[in-house]
Amino acid sequence: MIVYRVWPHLVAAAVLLALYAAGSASASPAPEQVAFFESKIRPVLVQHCYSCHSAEALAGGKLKAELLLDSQPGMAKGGESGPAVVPGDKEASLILAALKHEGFDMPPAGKLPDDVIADFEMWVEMGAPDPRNEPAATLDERVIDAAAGRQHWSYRRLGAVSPPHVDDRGWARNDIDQFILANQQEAGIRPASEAAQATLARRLFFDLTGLPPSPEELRAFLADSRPEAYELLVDRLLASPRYGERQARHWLDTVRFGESGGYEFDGDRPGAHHYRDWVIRALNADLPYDEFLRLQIAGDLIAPGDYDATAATGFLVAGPYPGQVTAKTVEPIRYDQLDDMVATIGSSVLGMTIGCARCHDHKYDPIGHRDYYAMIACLGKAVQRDAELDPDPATTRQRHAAWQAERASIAAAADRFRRDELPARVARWLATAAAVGQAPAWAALDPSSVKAAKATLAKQPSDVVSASGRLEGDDTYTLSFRTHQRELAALRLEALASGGGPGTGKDGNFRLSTVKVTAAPIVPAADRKPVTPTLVPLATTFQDPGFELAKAVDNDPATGWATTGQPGLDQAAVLAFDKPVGFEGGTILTVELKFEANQPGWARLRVAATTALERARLTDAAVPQAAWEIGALLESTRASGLDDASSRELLAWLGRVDPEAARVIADLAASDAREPRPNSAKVYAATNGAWVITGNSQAVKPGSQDVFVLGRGEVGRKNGKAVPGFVLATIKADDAEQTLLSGGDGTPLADSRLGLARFLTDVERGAGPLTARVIVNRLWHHHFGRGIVATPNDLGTQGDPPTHPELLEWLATRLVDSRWSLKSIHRLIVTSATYRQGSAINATALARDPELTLLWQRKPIRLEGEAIRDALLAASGMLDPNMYGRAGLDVGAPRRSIYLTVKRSEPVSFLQVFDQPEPVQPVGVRSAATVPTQALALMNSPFVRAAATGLAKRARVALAIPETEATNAAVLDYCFSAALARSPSEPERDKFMALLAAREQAAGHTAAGRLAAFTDVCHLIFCLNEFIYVD
Amino acid sequence: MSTDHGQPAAGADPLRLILPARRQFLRDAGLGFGSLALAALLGEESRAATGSGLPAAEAALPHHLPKAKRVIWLFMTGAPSQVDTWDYKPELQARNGQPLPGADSQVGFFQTSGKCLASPFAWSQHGASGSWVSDLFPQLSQHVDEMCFIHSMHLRANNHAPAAMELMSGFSRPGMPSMGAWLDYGLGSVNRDLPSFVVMHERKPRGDDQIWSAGFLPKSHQALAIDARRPVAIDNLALRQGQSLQTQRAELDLLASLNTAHAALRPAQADLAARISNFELAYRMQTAAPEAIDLAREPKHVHDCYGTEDPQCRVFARQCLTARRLLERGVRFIQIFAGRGAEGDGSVDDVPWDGHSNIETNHRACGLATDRPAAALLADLKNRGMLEDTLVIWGGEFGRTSDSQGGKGRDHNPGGFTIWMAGGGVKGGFHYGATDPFGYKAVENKVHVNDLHATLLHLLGVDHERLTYRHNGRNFRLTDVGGQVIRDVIA
Repeated sequence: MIVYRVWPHLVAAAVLLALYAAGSASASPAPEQVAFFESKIRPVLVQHCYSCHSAEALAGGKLKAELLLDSQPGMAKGGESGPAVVPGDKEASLILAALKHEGFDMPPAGKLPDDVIADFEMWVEMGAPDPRNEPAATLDERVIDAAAGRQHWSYRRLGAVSPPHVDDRGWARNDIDQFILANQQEAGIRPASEAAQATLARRLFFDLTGLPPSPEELRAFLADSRPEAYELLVDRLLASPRYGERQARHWLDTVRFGESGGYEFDGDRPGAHHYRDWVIRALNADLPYDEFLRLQIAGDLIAPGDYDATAATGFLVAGPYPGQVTAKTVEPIRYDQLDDMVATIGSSVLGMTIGCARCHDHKYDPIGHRDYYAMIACLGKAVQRDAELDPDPATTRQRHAAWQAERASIAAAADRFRRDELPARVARWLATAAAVGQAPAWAALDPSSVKAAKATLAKQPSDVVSASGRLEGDDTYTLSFRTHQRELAALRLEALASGGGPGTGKDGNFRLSTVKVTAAPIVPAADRKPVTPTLVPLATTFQDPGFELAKAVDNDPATGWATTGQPGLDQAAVLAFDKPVGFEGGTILTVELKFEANQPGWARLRVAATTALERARLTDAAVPQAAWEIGALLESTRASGLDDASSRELLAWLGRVDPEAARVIADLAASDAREPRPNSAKVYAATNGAWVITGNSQAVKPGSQDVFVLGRGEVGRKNGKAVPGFVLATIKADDAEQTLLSGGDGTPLADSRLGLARFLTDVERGAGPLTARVIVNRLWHHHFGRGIVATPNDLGTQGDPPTHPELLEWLATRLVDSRWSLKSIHRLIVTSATYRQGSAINATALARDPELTLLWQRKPIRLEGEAIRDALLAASGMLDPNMYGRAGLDVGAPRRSIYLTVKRSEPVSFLQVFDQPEPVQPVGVRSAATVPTQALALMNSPFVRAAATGLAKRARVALAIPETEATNAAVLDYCFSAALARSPSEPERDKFMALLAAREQAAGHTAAGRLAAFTDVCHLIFCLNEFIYVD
Repeated sequence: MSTDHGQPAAGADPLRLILPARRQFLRDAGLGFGSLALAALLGEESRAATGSGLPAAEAALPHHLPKAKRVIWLFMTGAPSQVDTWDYKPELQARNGQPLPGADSQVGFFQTSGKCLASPFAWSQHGASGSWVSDLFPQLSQHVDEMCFIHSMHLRANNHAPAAMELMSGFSRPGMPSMGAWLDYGLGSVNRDLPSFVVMHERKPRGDDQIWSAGFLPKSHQALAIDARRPVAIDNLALRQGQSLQTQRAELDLLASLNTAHAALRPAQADLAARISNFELAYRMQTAAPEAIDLAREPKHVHDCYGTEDPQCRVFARQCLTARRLLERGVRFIQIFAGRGAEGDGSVDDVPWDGHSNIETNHRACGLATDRPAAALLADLKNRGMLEDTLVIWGGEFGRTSDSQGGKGRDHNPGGFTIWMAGGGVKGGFHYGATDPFGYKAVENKVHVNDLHATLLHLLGVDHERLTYRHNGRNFRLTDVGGQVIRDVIA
């Protein structure tokens, strides 16, 4: 048996202090020191501290913080937070912090005078001489005994249980019934007889799918005379996609699922619904429950990059998270987040209140403070993020493969064109084009790419580049060009007038502060290094005094070229290279234009180049680049012939002047544009990473991913790094902890979060038995309105004891044996005779078992708000069966309630009125309160009215009764069937038909009047208690 | 933390109807507002048992004789500065711009200068008590002799939403029951036709519904929130088109007969009966609730006192006047989230008193928006003889720093702030606790939120250690494991 103490570090500290006392302080303090203590220290302690921190206080039950200040050993040992006094160490002596109101505020009535505090500081500095060396009173320290804790019924290993042998007189349908009957017989109680078939159908539909049977489905079931008709219905409903929607809602309750952050601003999490959708899919697919859990804890580590596995981890990060984090709150917020994760895992998976051990050992259950920090250490790296993932990679792969085939054929056609037609077409063009010959004065460069830091640049006709969007100061335009010229001598920059002027500033001004040109080879080679030619200002159309062109190449961001004196005109400037530029195989020319010092840039511009500077005048017209480049390409390959790269370049340039080449290029571009991209979604999920800083208005740094043990749960009291591990009382033996954290070869797992996932589901060594008991109890709870343990989130010592412990054990074993198939447990439960009982009350049984715990009848269960809303939609025929995604916050949206957005600050009122829980803590049992706002919602809300109208219309359509015909009893029967899964009794029919007659009378015998009158009838049916209860 | 089906804990048993057979029903019905239905159902029986004419819940619940029967909390959303309102600090005034002694880098939410910012407002003494008040409150300052000031409030959270939750529920995180829900759970409602816990807001305060949540208590203890921006104050009160009270009556009679027949076959299901009477309660609410909040029924001079036509304070005035009508009709706990920041000084509507950038313009605007209606409410309650058993509370979620933020503003400061109470059994013209000479931190007779809650419950006749709810294996209290009744403030 391992016994560990409440605060191991304290024990160590106490030992050290004991040594210290034995070594130095045991020598009696000097008389003057004693005098100081007696005159300055002791009286203060007696007057202000002893009432809560002395043996007397302990005896009187008034001791606070387990701290004794009435003896030297007591002060040295300290209380919950650490030693009160460490001789000579003012920092470590917590009594000083307390007196100074730093972290603790002592005495509580108010701070003592500064001179008293100074006395205490001096006393600590002098070594805290203290003659009160009598031993401290003994505290009854709580010690968690894991081995003893393992004896609690829910923490034991799974035991083999056989159903009891009872004489069931043919009543039992499966083993569950043996357990139930045994207890009943012991109490002398007989089970109720089986419910009517229609009642069973309605019960099954709601329990398994959360929706009522349609009149058609009900009729088909009632007409099915096969002996296994009921079991077939069970199978059909378990296979229905509605099953996952229904059961997912239960699970989401236990994991505090929400789609916003809560706290400040309640920021939306648009990617949070992927988790909910995954839960629905996983339950529908009957994913084994152990795998279901492992993916939620560590899916991102188990299958990195996988959409489903990543979405599953939304579990960890579904809790609230503040929308504003500052340096002063970042660390407590992180520990709160870890607390939310571990408390949720505890309640939802383990039925355990782990959160209670955050500040100290659990008061009742065998959960140590150490266990708590061991668990959060496993989660220490996990944070929330939006992962960009492809929800359907298989389809994306398929589409991409199809596209690649298409792309290959188009590329082949282009290759054929280059091989077979390009030379001839170039020749033909050469023959018709007159331009080639002498080099042009200027060639207008056609940019291959344009971008700016702030503005949006776009290519316009005639090689013009325009700027739009954020036209602000301090921008940089970057333009790239391709060329095959070898002897580039100069560039001409044209700033073209647009509106007020070439600049984007007030009055069209600009200031070009820096121009930088870089030339890089298209085809790299050892002797071709990128160059940055020196720019020589040659000429401008205009320049302001003091803002000459030279200022644009002087490397001073504060100065530049401006033309304010000539607003509204095109301007141009020529900058020559200090030596010719151009590489063999082609050149990429990058021109960077900076408008710094918060000065405006250009609205429209064009760049031209020349190889014949001697002939190029400032304002000469420019020819298009294509002809110039084709000439240069042909010239440069005349000797060697066209290689593949040159042929592609040639095709590109010819495309500017030749329609056939243009078509080939367009085909390639169009195909490129068709390349399928994954239809990626942002998935709100967990990942290992830095703490998330939200809404920061100043620099806030995330803290370390190491988790520390916090004294009293406070970040200011770190007691060493926490070591990953688990709640020891729930594993097979203490040494199983390391096994669960290690791989097959004994080396530690790559991430202890994987160990946590294993711990939760390992039946042999981990908490698997507890996990299994918790989930089968939840399933039982949802089918009977009460679990075998009535507190499904707490199977600890403070929870209710099981009413049928052996049945619970048997079900847990069955779950594990069925490879954790939840559907198999549902099937077992709903096919039992116990489940199929009617609601009849037997007076004798009620007297013997007033709480109905022996399950001798079926207790009517009130539907949850979501199920009531879904039933209204279903009965009215308005229900939109589409699955997944976000349906928003509108109660009137015809989607199932599970798809409505869960915004923490804006609950959907209709659901809230019917007890939808706060999505902030795990909820195992919903309350079912009775409040008049429910009656008001049913009587007066537009939503219920719309549903009533829907049902009134639907009935006529289903029965093919035209609007012109009077409403008859068959329509009423249909509505009863849709809402209540039964026909009205004779008295009921009479009453409703009388109401209908009166309303039709009042409304006038028109189609609209009949519809309104019958809507009143349907509305009243929805107000019946029977509508929101399931027998 | 998790919610399992809670039930009144053993400690609360004496509070409950002493009808063991109804225990399951109490659980199902969720008590509180719902328990009215029960009271109606069991009417004669419970009255006989308690020997009074009051509804059973009301008669059975208090642990001792209450001094206050109802509470109205004027919640100054965004946190007013103590040193610009009620906590006069000559030292701070004298040392504007000088280093703040004891400036603590851990105080505040953002960054502060560490330099004293003197209050820009003029201060003077008022009333027989000679209480100092800044000129933000020309009207409220007339009532200082009714007020019991607590200058040494402090709590843990240092941002609006968590602090508002802490002030209301004792915990700085969502999901815990707020004080109004606890009271509804413990004391039930006095009025059969209205809920006992009402919240009023214009723009929702930061933290939204989480602040007045019923947490893990049954939803029946949820607040009714009245949004000043909405033309219809309460959902689903209006009859549908074409329906009249007569036609609805006919429908409800038919409904009752059918529901009764249904319930008769399910005798172990007590909540079915509660549901039947709930329709009757809802039917009455349709008339009673609109009447209760119909301000047209108030005479003009009352409107004038509150300032319901004054554009500076119209919204809060209407809320205060509505609140007085609700208090008269038996609503037990009302919270008004109030204040309105100045245009253009950076304050945000969901935290109007949040004067980070300019305390002067911000607080001036919030003062104008709240002073007159609050003073009118005090006077009105007094005139009607209601102040003696109505507790009025004024305060925000924390205080503000004595040093400046960005020159003219003040940052959050949960370490020391002032609230005042009036009426309902507290001493008038009384000052309790103190901050340091700069108003920076509470130092004398510090009052934690738990202590405040314990005191408020005590005034309402409830022992805070005995009002518990069993949840998740533990008996929870509003005051968690703390709280001491501040005897000194009780008259």
